[in-house]
Amino acid sequence: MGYVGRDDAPAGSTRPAPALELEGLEKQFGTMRAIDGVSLSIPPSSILALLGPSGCGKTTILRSIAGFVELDKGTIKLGGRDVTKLAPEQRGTAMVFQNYALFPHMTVADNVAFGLKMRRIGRAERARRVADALALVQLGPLAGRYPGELSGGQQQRTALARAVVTQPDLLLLDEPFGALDQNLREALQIELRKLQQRLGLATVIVTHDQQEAMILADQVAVMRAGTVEQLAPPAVVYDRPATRFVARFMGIDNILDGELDGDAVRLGPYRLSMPPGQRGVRGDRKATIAVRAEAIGLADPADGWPGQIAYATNLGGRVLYEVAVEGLGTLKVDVPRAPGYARRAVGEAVGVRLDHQSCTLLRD
Amino acid sequence: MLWLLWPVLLVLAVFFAAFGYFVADSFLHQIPGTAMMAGPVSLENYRTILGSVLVQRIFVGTLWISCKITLAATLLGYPLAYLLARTASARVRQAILFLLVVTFLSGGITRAYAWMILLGNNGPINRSLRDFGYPPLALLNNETGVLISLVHFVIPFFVLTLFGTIKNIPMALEEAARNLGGRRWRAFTSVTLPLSLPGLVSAMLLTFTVTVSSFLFPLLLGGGRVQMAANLIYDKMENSFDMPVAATISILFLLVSLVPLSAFSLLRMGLGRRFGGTRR
Amino acid sequence: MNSRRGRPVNSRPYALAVPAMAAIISAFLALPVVVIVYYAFSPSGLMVFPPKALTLHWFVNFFASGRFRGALINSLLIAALVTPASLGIAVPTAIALVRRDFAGRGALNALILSPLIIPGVVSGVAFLNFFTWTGVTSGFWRIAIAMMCFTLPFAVRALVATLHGLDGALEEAGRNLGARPWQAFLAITLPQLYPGLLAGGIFVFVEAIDNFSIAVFLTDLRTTTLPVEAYGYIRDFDDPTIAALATILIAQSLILVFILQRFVGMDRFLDLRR
Repeated sequence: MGYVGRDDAPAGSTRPAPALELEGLEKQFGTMRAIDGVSLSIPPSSILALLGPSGCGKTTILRSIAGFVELDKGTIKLGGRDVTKLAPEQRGTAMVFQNYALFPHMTVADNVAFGLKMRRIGRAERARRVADALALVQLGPLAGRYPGELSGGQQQRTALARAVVTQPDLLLLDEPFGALDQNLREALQIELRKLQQRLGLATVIVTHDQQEAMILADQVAVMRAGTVEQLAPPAVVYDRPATRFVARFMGIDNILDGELDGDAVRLGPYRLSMPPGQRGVRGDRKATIAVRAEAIGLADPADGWPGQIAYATNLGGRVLYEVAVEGLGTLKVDVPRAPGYARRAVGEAVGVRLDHQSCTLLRD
Repeated sequence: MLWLLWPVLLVLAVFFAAFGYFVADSFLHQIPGTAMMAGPVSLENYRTILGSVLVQRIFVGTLWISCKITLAATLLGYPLAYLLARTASARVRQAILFLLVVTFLSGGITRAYAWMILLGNNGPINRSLRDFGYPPLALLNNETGVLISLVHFVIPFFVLTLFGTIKNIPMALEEAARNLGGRRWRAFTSVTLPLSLPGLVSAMLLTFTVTVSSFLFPLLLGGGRVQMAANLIYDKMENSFDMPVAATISILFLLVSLVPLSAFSLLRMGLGRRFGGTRR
Repeated sequence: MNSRRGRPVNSRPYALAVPAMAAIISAFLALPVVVIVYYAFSPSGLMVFPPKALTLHWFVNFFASGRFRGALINSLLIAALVTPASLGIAVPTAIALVRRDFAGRGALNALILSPLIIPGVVSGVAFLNFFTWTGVTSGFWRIAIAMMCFTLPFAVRALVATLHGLDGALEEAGRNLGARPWQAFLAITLPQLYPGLLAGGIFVFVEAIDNFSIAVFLTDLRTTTLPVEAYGYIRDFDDPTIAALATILIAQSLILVFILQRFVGMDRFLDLRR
């Protein structure tokens, strides 16, 4: 091993071991590289979201942490303990499965008690902890029900109680809100976040929903084709996507190709000066800029880059315009719509104003 | 991995060992007057059996009877399976299912004997005919009896196999066909029938398999006049205990019966591929 | 009949044709069952309607006869032996077929199911030949071993179908919560296999009791089974004793259907047949 001594932090260091450390994970299924060299770590008590489209390898990483996927390469450490070669039942992780995987032949209480039984916890303590866990997710009155008799939200909370009752070193959530409708989902996401903070439970959540990652995570790892494309706090991923892929995935509509020009970027006939820290991240002279539709304003033709409204879509509280900008192409512009707002007509001449603070220079 | 499989491999080993001996012995000869076998190894049994007009006639007859019964089971079974899958009344469904499964589980000997009584000269059918002054019908100890009883025997197999497929064809497809202006019959022939083909072929395949190997029904209801392949093999054993010849007939018959079975199977595989996406 | 053209699309004749046919076919299905039960209780060997009296004479005759008692005991013993053995072999087999990925899985599945397409008489003679070579002379064991091979596909099929319906994540959830592989199997998978065990067990049991075409070759002088003995009796006598046996088998079938309906549900059971 090339990094002997890393496990033992230098004397005097007070930093606790990371809750989870992944080091050079690789996994190949047939010809597909499901995980292609992933290394990351999360500090105690924090939530990491693995975010990405289906097939990006996020679920494979989660399942390899739980011990259901045998890795080709790499090590997994939980709280400094190497668990790479351990069987699933020896790892001390607790997982909420995608469709919850509640045992249909056991009551809610028996489902929650299962992990404690396997740990040979005595009857009295078991009963107490099951009751506590059910109270935590407000399912006490339903303890005697079977999973088939529960609503989707209740099933999800049962699965959560079953996982946290074992006091795991790491909580694993595999698309835990995927089967729920939108309203319920948001409420439960906030509830889960509060619960996690109260318990101080290090957590990895797999999701393809960027908003879910925003609400829940301390760190977001955006994944693509088995690799981590960007690892950062949610606000950074949202505001400053590192790559074209991340920008698209985070719902940024306008991605513009141009050239570096000193402290600025030249986009067709226009020049856009970039804020410090947003200059020259790429080695060559090309520059790609991402800017959200909401960060673009519309003004009189003289007050910005001249363009014409090509299409307008009403989104309720906002209006989404497609604006044809001379020499640049079509930009999407998202404008809030207060009562009395007069929608601009198709064909109307406008000036487009970009706030350079909200433009991000991409890595590719 | 292997520890999960060793019990089944043991069973398969016994089964295929039995057939290995069987095939090997078909190349030997009976020592006349005994139940023993001896060499030399030759294909003579095969030459004799393949050249026997009696055996040819029985093989062809067996396949022909099986075709007739499969056809009859289809004509009778399809409406029943359709009703079973589509009826809105849970009670009707339960009643028919109950009837099918009870019949199915009551076994072969029960039903073969019941038909013997029913179709016999003194059975309720012929007694009623006589009471009304009609001449009795020859229903037993001929092909009629075998056909009637075998159709009865295979209908549960047929219906229970087909019913699942029809049930899985969304009602909405039929409704769409009618909404587009098709009459009930057109909606059926252009939507339900083609989509049920994979299940229909499976059901016919099973029916044919069961019929072609039938033994007890021709034995009890054929009165010696209806010889199917299984009965021929049984007679060879019963009368002369000629194992090499019985083995030869068995193997040849197995091969003959596998031809239509593989045709059915291929057809079903083709249909499965074509309709695979819409079946469930 | 002259108003044909004005007929609505949802016409009565069409709507009634299928149920009417179904009713006739159902009657055809029920007829032999009803007749044979009636015959079993009729005093003379002749079927007279309405009955002058009912009798249990043929049942008494059945149970009093030494040949039937022996055959009944043999059949029950063989079924009682073959059913658990068949299921016990089928469970690990089904798990390997459904949950494990290995080369030749499809071929193995086809091999396991192959006894189903081989005519019973062919298997019967082949087994007789095999047992003669290997020196197995006990009719009981010959029939039990042959039935074991022959009924295994029924059990495997039912269990494979049940396992396909189970969420593979359940066992993983158990492992994740700290269960060892065998604990996860016993606590989570096995309890959920019960529909397959029950349905498969019923198929195996009924086949082991009812099989004629294989068993008829494998009996010995001391050991016969119910169907073989019944065939012999039908050849020699013409009275309703066999109707009494048939009635007993129908009653058995009713009990099994009741068990299925109570514990598995008819629809579920039918899904497990394929």
